[in-house]
Amino acid sequence: MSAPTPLLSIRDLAIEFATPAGPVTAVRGVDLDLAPGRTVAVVGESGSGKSTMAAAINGLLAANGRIARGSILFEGRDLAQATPAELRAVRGRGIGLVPQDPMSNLNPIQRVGRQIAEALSVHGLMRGAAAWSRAVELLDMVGIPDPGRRAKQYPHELSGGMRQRVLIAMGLACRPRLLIADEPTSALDVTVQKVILDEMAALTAEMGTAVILITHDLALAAERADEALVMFRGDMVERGRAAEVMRSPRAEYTRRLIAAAPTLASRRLVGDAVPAAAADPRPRRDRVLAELVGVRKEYPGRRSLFGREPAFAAVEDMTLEIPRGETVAVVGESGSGKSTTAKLLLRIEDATAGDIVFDGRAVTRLKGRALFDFRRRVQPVFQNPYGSLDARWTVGASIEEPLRIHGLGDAVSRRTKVLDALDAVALPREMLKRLPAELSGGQRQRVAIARALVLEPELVVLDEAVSALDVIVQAQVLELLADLQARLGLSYLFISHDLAVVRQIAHHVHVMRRGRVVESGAPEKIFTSPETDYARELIAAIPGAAPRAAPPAPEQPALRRA
Amino acid sequence: MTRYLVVRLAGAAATLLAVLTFVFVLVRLAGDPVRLMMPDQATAAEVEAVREALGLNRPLIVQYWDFLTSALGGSLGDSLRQGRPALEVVLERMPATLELAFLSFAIGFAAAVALAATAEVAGSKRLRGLFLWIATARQSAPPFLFGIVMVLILSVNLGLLPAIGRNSWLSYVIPVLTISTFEIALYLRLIGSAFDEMREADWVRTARAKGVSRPRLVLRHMLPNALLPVVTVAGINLGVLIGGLVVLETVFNWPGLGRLIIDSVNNRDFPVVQAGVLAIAASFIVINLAVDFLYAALDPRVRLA
Repeated sequence: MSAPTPLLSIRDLAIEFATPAGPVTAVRGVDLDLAPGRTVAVVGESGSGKSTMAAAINGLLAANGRIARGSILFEGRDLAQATPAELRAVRGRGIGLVPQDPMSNLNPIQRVGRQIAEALSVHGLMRGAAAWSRAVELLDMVGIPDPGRRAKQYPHELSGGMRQRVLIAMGLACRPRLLIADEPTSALDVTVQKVILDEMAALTAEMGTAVILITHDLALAAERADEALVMFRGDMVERGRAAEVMRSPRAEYTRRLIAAAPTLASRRLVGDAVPAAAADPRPRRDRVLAELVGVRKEYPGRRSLFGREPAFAAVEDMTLEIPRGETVAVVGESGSGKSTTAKLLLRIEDATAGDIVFDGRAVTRLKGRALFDFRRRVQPVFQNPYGSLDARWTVGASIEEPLRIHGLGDAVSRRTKVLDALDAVALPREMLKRLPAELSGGQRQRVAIARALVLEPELVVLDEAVSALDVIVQAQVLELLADLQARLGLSYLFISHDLAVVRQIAHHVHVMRRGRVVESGAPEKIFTSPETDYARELIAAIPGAAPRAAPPAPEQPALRRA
Repeated sequence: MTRYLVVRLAGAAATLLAVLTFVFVLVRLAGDPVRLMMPDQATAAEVEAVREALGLNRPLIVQYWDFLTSALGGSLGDSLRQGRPALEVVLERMPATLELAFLSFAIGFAAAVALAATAEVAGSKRLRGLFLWIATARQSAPPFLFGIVMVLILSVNLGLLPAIGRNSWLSYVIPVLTISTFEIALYLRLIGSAFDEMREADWVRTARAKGVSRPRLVLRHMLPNALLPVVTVAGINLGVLIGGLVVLETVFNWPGLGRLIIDSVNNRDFPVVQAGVLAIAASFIVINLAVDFLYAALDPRVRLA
């Protein structure tokens, strides 16, 4: 498996982080060989140490991290022993980096062209006008239209996909022999992901650049890499040819990872929808809990020199109904209007036009006491479990707060309800006194769900509620949601970008694009015989036979509990 | 852009109007201005005559209107002591104050930037701690005290510099030294904490991954970003500084606006006090306006709209 003259050869690498509680080993016993021009994928969940290992290669560990043991031979030189000046000469020139999040990885107040040109000038390859025109060329190579104009723009003027292309141009500017791509497309929409990965592969092949592809997605690794290395809690648990690892995993953990990843073949967690209205004897009001009819949401245009730019319609002519006890999913890419739809139903935003009805009453006209009661019956769960809990509140206080706000019960009965909610989301009662920082991502999202459930709502709006979770945790939370629905008769509005997850949990699916619903139907129908090109495109963008999993939360190896 | 300018200028004008009103009310709250202005032994008839002459016997609203219209016409009355227009007296003194304020501010700010950047390039927490410790120790001595001690050492004992007045460039040294060193601690702390926040930022790490050296990283990437939040504070602080020079100008016998206001208060020369307060308020407004434009120039994400 190792080529005769490896470009990179890692032996017995161990990385430690100094923490107040003493040293924590984030990576141990990693071996890796990479021949020139080849691609190796390092696969693992958040906290597995995959990004930490990548950071160690070009000497960019966080300040409290250090290489405790082992060697990193790059072109025959041990980077683990290199001086800061030697490392600096290798960074960018010998080893390029494409980081994970395009939104946070560019200097916000410097023109992107200058940031690319800098990669050339700091290594003395090109300066001034020559470096600038090369930067424009590079932007062209990574597929940015009108590169001359784009080079002069600032990061905030570019979309996420374009910023990621800028980062790829930056990583490849000096034609490095090795490119470390750390979750290069996890923050992007599926259709964009595929294009960008294709472009990156074409460029590295042309330059003869070897690639270390860090990813949480085994299917993606199998599709894009020659070899794969699977990491779990700092250990290398499996290493082999990528396709083989995917097909016949040897390690128990790899098998679990593959099983948990939602695919088009995954078991559905809910039954099929109740038959259509005609067959249902119940009156409409008993059958439908909430509905949107012809809803439109406009945001005013930006003021400019010549008055206002035209208004932007985030949601246009949206009609959907949420039957009692069922899950309605809205799928789409960023900017499709799916989150706006959730906000409209929650009455966090007001619709510009159209009707939103909940249990026979117009949500759009609720105010005062009636709106307050509505808020008790409809509860949200948001995407980021790290941001949706107050870091200074204990789990118990966070879950109890809705009860206090709505003045329900006394201290004793509230406590009982909080404990019941904890039980419902399968969290141990000892969690009551913990702070969010002491919890894993999955546990936090369970707390967020418990907080939504404690008011005994009828409708829960889940806005990308499982997207930030690792696949194994994601699978558990999805099962929990399906189970709660079966026991409590909850209705869900499930907002997601992930078709495979939607297929598992939803009774009805609406595909949104640019503010409009382009296709609706039962999940099986949309997945087996999509009617629109867009739905087909979304399904086709899923790598390999196994549809994509969601991006994990950013890594914090020193702090994270796996 | 034009629209933004118009809106901001209108806002500045509104603020100035509020200050005028405030000054008008304040002077009348302080007691009967005529009584305050006149010697204690003046007769009632004399007081009444002055009241008549100054128009202070008219209804308040009429006085207010008159005050506003003549203020907008550039007239703030005549100095009671010098018999010249109050505004002229004030404007004469403005340059001395502004020179002292801007020079001290610029030197203090530049020193703080230099120290913060040096410590960050060196990557030494100890060095930054040392700088901050010295700056804070300096700041804990009030400027008037520090200034007097400087005069004692540098002028009285060593005879190197003039003690007071504003006669040659040498006379700037002690006042500027006093004020600028007082300012360092604040900016050092602000820039330092901005560095702390971005040191582990994704884009900083990405810049390092390009092979950017540490000095370049600090000076070209981190510092411009770190200055953004500091600029706003600096603008407000500079305004406060101009108003606060009153005490120091007295200590150093500096012929500036602050000393003029103090003298005028003592002399009960209210038109000059009014004009002086307005001048300080106006420079505060102008500086803040300038900061808003500067901020927009520094940060491409801010749109002037």
